[in-house]
Amino acid sequence: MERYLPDGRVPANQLVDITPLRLSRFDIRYWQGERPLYLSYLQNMEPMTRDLFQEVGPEDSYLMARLIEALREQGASVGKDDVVKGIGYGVGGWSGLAASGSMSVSNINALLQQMAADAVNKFGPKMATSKKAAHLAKMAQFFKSHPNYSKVMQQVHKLPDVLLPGPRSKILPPAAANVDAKALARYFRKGYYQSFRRLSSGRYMGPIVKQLNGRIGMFKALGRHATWYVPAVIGMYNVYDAPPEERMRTLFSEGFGVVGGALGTKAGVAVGLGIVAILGLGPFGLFLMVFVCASLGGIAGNELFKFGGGKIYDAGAELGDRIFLSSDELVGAFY
Amino acid sequence: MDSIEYFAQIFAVSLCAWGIIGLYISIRIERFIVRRYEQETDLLDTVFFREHATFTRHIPDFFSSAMYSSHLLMCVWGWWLYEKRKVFRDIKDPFIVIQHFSPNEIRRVKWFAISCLIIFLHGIVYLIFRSIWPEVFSR
Repeated sequence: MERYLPDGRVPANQLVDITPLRLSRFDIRYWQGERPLYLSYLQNMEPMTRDLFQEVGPEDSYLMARLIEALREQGASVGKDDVVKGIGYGVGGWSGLAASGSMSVSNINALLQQMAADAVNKFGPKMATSKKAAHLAKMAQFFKSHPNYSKVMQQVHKLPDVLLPGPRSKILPPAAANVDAKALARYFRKGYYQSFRRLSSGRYMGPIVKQLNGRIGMFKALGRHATWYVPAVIGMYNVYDAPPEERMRTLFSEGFGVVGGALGTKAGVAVGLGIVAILGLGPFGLFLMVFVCASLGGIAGNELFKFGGGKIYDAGAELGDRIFLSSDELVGAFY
Repeated sequence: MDSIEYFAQIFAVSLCAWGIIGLYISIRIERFIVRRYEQETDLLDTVFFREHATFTRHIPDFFSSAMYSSHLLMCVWGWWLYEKRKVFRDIKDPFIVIQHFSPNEIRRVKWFAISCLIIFLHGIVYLIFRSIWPEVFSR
């Protein structure tokens, strides 16, 4: 954490930080109390779950655990060996929800950093970090009149409930008369957002351990292989659906079609990303552009390579001026 | 057989060969680039990935490797085009990104881009020839 703060860069995936740097006395005591609990929860995690937790952070892990809980409440089977029913629900839903959460959090961090920097510029570092009641009141006034204030609140509105440090109504001052403006000022001037701040760790670490142990491999594998098996299944259906004499040719062209579709999708992602950087689009524009370009690239690549694979098969099955699609046809031609 | 038929077959062989080469290179790239961006460096904490491509770490490695490759290529080949863009405002020098990769790794990423370009050119040629000889250039 220390190496990020001087650059004003706070990674969105390290929101629950327990470093005493820039934390209030309350926060320090709070995290000191949580430390043994955290250690015991981490010990209860399987190595794969622990890797995921350290990689994506507690918020995304908790969202994933909540998703499994919600699916089970709705009657879906998300058992350790139940791979098939997880396909439709799990991967897309979790990725989208987790991505939207981190996106809002990173926006909040960027806005808070600006506000904290403006406060330091205007009042100087001593007053901006002062604990005196009069200074805090002045800072609260400054933050409320700052142009970023309404934007921060809009972003807070977008966060899933589980990522908020308390009840939504309490941290949205326009909607709550009893909000503590000085506490808000203390919170905003840190320049970064801490979710799960006042939640008992048992409320999110318990479900993470319970739901994710034993299931991570399944989710990872689903995400990784979806690239291949969706077009492959469509291709296999086309092979099954083809007339018997065309089956080998279809298998050959569909095989290359899968390769072309995967490559086209990849190239589409890269092209979409390049266009976005030139146009300077935001996260939503980027998502749309990459999605559209990747889909177009995938379809075009699939079609192109199906042609290529078909032609290569024809070249191998050609005798004289005629293409023989099966051995029966070839033998029959000489009778 | 017409000469255009021979051309179509040579074209198809070339296309599929480049496809397999491109796929092989992309799999080799995936083996190092995802790990480098997500675990071994803090490149994901730059504005590009923190504020814009925030979903990259959540998508399967096969796709995220394409995003990381294009980000690296923007720094290696396209810096003249991208240096003033908002998404690169915290990267003053492309060396900040390039330093994390060996020349051999960068060469592989460049070859992936070249193979994609060649396949794209095949696609253009295919569309042109299909409009002239639809009976030969059809599935």
